[in-house]
Amino acid sequence: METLQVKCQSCNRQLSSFFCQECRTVVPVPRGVDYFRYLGIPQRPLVDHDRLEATYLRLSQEYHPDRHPDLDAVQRAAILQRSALLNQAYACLKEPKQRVQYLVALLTQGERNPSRAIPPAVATLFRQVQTALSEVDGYLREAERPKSALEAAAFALGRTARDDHRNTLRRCHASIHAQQDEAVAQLVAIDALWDQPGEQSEEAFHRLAALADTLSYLDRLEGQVHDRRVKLQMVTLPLRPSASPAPFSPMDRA
Amino acid sequence: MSRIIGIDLGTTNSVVAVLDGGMSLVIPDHAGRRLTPSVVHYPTTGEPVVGEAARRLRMVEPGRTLYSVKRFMGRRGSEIGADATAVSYPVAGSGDGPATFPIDGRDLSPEEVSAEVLKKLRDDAAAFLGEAVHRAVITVPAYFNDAQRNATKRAGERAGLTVERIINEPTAAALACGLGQERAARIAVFDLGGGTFDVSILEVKEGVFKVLSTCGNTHLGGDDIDTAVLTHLQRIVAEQGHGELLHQPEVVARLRDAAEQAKIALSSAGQTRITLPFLGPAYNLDLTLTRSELERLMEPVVEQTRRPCIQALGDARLTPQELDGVLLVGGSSRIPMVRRLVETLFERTPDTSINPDEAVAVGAATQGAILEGHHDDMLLLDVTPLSLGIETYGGLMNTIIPRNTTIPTKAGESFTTAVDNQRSVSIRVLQGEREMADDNWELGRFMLEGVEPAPAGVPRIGVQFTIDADGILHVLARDQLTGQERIVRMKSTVDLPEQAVNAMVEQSIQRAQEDMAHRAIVEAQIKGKNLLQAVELGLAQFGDRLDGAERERIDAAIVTLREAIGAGAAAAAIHAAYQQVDAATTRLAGLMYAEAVRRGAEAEG
Repeated sequence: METLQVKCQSCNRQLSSFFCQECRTVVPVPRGVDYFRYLGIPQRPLVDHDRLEATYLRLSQEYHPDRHPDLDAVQRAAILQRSALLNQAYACLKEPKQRVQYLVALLTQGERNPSRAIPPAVATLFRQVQTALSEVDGYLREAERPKSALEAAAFALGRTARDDHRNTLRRCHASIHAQQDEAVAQLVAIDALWDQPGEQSEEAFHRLAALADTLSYLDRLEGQVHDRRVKLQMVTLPLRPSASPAPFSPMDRA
Repeated sequence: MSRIIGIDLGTTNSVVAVLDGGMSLVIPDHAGRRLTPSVVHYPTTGEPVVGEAARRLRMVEPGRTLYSVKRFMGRRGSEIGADATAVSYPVAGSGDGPATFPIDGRDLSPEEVSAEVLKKLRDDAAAFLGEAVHRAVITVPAYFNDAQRNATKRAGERAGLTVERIINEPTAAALACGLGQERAARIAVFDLGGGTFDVSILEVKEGVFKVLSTCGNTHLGGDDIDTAVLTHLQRIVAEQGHGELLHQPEVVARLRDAAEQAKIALSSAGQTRITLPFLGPAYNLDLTLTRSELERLMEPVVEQTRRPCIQALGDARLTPQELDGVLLVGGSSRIPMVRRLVETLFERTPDTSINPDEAVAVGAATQGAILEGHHDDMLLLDVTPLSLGIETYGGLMNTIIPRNTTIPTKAGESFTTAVDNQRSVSIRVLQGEREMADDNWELGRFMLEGVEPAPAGVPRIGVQFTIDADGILHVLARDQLTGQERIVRMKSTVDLPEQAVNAMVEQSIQRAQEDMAHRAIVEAQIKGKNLLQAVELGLAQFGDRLDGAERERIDAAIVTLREAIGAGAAAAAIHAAYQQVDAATTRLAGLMYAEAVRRGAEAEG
């Protein structure tokens, strides 16, 4: 198993992090060390989540500033950078979308621009979600608007509207999740080709680049739908007769 | 090296604690009190009075006794509006300048006043421990922004303390109750204090406390409930024909104190009597307040905790059922109505096993022990509560570090020039969740100077934004050509020269006046149209339940409003017509509302 291997510059000890516990010094990160190498995990489309998590926690214990109150100002600034980079690397590698985008950028030295066109695979889904979002946004705007007592009552009367929007968003979410699952399945297939020689690995890379665009769209749609579901939850309607009236915003406060 | 104490610098009360041989210890003052009121009294001569003694002086000399100062920490003059009128002491500051308290010709800063509280806590701790104390962990509301965190840190330094870490209050509370806890758990911490509200969702696993999300409101707490009760009492005093008394700060201070006492009493009792003898010459206030009356008064305040809870759960991508517990923290979490809301939101009975007043300080002391190298089995991974971004083309906010990112963290951004031979680039740094830059909180501006003359878009200046473990931002610029790094001094607008501030204020007033008249008409028209739509819906469904005269009154009011809108009348005229319709439709609104409630009950049952 590949693990992080670092050499301490002052005592030459073999370390498993960029901090030498013996010398109490922060080891410089060589140029060109990417997130994968920084964490000591294999550079490929799939990661072993348990291992990533375990490595992250182990290195957090090593780098977190809370562990190094004794360091001088220079070393302290350096360990802050190690810790910040660790959090950055972990956040990127644990999510398929970020990881795949990062890997593609890494392998093309940032030369490949993500395609602006909607990938055909998500075109139908994209339209379904955008239609739903524009309807829900109209409803949310209406809900947010300061209302007189009468308007609030009229809004509350249309209470089934909220449930309808909820269901619409739930359906959108289900469609997105189905496609995300499919994308992950593709990722597994690509990963299997990763170590193959020549043409196959070439093909794997092209498929990965295409997948990066799809994942990016799916991720954005998922985020939008999630955001509206949370906002819908915030819309309060009178539920029980004992409940006091909905929060009316008087006209002159607006 | 001296020990690290933990300080909960609260809006109403502060607490100091220390970890002694693994046991947490809340440090009492010389009189044995474990809570120190965060109140500072400035006498005409002599040293400031702090704590319980100052709290008692508030009733006598409200104008020189500062409390709830935390509400003004790191805030600009333009942001203090409602808070300034809610307190009984003078508050100054305008535009982008800092908020200050003018007393005896001195402009006291919130940091300076907080430092007095911290000094007292430090001295109490030193006396109790029998050794000098000069290191501390201080807590802040999780939702505090960069300026509020910096101000708290400076207050600690002014009090002669080395601030070893700033930690978030809900996280500290979780740390306090998680001592020695082995099994993995996901918990929510609901922290409603005197002036601030936070909710955090954490995952605790093998000694690692990982915050998943946090949300809150830095201007919401028990103070606001006191103010709601105070307003109620003021109304009663006025109704009883003694409105003139309300101009006396001492009277208002007594009423506020009575309001607070009543609120506390009603957390356990069903009703309480408020008696204030000789509020005026030959006038005693004597009345009974019931819990249900109190609940009616404070509902708008309590209700404001709902959204942050839903947002925090959403950001953590968890449903209430996926949580293992909800921890209640902060004095205001004792209020039955608050507990009921928590129960509904999180679908479980909240955990009330820890002391809601002391948990935060104990957590801070625990963090102190971690920093001392004890507890190497524990580690805290907190998040930044607000998204960090920069202003980009079209006045939009471009997020570079999203909210709820684990700290420490960093992000790099590359900047260039917009015109040929431009020598410097101005960058505006923001915190917040809104799309438009202006709707977010401006952390500061900085200039990247000394750019080599080149055609527009050619220079590349890399800027690195690092958020440290205290949640405080550091900016580093790297010249791509020379590879030289330098720390960029961010000009926080809180300390801009006064001239610049005045100019900014003047400009904005001028521009505002031009637009205002027109905007007012358009807004009134939209409001009127919305109301008309609602009336039509109501009449269509319930018109037959109204009697002839009522129907006529509504119809007449509608015609007037419609004409006012159509004729492009002044905003005031539309407003008047609007209120006529509103008044005429009170009963109709009631009918519609009752129906909505009935349908709601049906849908639920």
